[in-house]
Amino acid sequence: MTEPTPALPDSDVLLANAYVDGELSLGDVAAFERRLAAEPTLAAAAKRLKALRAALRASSQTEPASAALRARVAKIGSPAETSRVLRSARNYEWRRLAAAIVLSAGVASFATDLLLKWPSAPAASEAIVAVHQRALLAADPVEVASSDRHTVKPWFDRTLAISPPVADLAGDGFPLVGGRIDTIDGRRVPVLIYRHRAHLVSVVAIPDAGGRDDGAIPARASRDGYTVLSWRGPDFRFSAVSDVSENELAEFVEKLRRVMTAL
Amino acid sequence: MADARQQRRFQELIAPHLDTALSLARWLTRDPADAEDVVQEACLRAFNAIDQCTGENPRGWLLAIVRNAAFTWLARNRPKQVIAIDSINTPEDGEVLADPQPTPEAALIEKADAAMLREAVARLPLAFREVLVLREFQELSYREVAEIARVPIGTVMSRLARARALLIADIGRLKRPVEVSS
Repeated sequence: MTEPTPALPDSDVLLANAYVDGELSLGDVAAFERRLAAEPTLAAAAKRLKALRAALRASSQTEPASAALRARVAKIGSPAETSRVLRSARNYEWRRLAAAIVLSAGVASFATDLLLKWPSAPAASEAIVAVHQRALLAADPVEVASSDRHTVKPWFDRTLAISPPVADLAGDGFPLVGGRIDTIDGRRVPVLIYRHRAHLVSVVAIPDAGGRDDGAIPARASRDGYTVLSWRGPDFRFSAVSDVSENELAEFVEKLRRVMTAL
Repeated sequence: MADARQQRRFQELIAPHLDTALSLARWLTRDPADAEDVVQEACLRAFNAIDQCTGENPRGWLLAIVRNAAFTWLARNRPKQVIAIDSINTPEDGEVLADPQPTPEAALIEKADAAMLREAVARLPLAFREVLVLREFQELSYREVAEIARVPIGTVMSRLARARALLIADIGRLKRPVEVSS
C-alpha cells in the first residue's frame, strides 16, 4: 500500500512536474526519460504525478452558469447598466487593471510574434522548408515537448483552437518529439516534430476544413537539401519536410497517413 | 458609451467563456453564490475594457480578469485568505516539495474518490489552489498560468509542485475504502 521512499531533491521534484505537464524542452525530455529508466525513486514520483493528473481530470465537473447569471451578464452594456458602471469610482481602476493585464500578456507574446513575422509571401515549398529550418535553428525545435499525443493535441487546441490529428510513430522509428506553431503566409499553423535517428522531420499542417485524404501520391519538392512531401489529409493539408533520404521520408508519410486516417 | 460594436465584441469574445470563468471563480471563492458575483463583476470589467482584448486569446484574457476580480472580492470579504498568500515564501530545501511520507502508490492515487479529491483541492491554500486549478482544470501552460497569477514561472512551478504534494499526502491520509457495491 504505502511505503517510505527516499526524498527527492527539489530540483528533481520540479523536473518531474514539468515532465508530466509537457513543459520540458526536447533535450530535457530525452535526458529525463533516461533518468526515469535508471532511477526507480524518480520514476515512482513521476508515476504518482501522472496518476494525480488523471484523478484530477476525472474528478473535474463543470457546472454551467445558471440562467440567472446569464441574464445578469446579458444585461451588461444595456444603457442603464453601463452608465451605472461608468459612474462608479472603481471603473477607472478596472480599466487600469485590464490595461496592465493586456500589457503583460502582450509583452510575453511579443517575442513570439517577432519570430513568426513573415517578410513576403514565398512559394509554398520554400515556406515549408523555412519552417523546418526555423525549427532547426531555434534553441528548442518544439514549444511543447512530449512524445504523448494526448499532451500535444490539447496544447494545439488551447493555443490555436485547432489541432491536426496527432500520431506517434515511435514503433516505426519516428518518435513524436512535440509541436510548435509557425506561420505560413501570415497564418499561424501547427507543426508536428518527429525524430528519426539524428534527424528531425517537421510536419506542417495547413487548415483545410472538410478535406480528407484522397490517397493521391504526395507532391514532391526539394530545396536546399531538404525534401518536401505534401498531401491532403483529414481537415488539413500536410507537408512533411526533412533532410532524411527521400525514401525514408516517403515511408514516414505513408505510415503517418495510415495512422491519421485511422485516428 | 456602450455602442453596438462594443456590445457585439463582448458577446462574441466573452460570453462563450462564461462557464469556464465561473468554474475558476468557484474554485477561488469556494462558494457558488460568491463566484457568480465575481463573474458578474469580471464581465463588467471585461466589457469596459473590451477594446483592449485582441481577440487572440479571449479566454485567457477573461480568466485573468476573473482571477483579479476574485482576489479583489476575497481581499474585501475574506481578508485572511489573501493575507496568507503574501506570507508564502520560497519553500525550504528538501522540506516542502519532497513527497510526503508515507507515499501512496500511483494506482491508489489514480483511484482516489472524485468528491474527496475536489474537497482536498478546495482545502489547499489559495496560492497553491490557484495555480493548480489553472493548470489542471483550465489546462493552461506554465506561461499562461504565470501571466494570469502574475507570478514568475519559477513560482508557478514550485507552487504547483507543492500543491500536488499536498494533494498526494491527503490522498494517502484520507483515502476512503472503495465501495464495492456501488
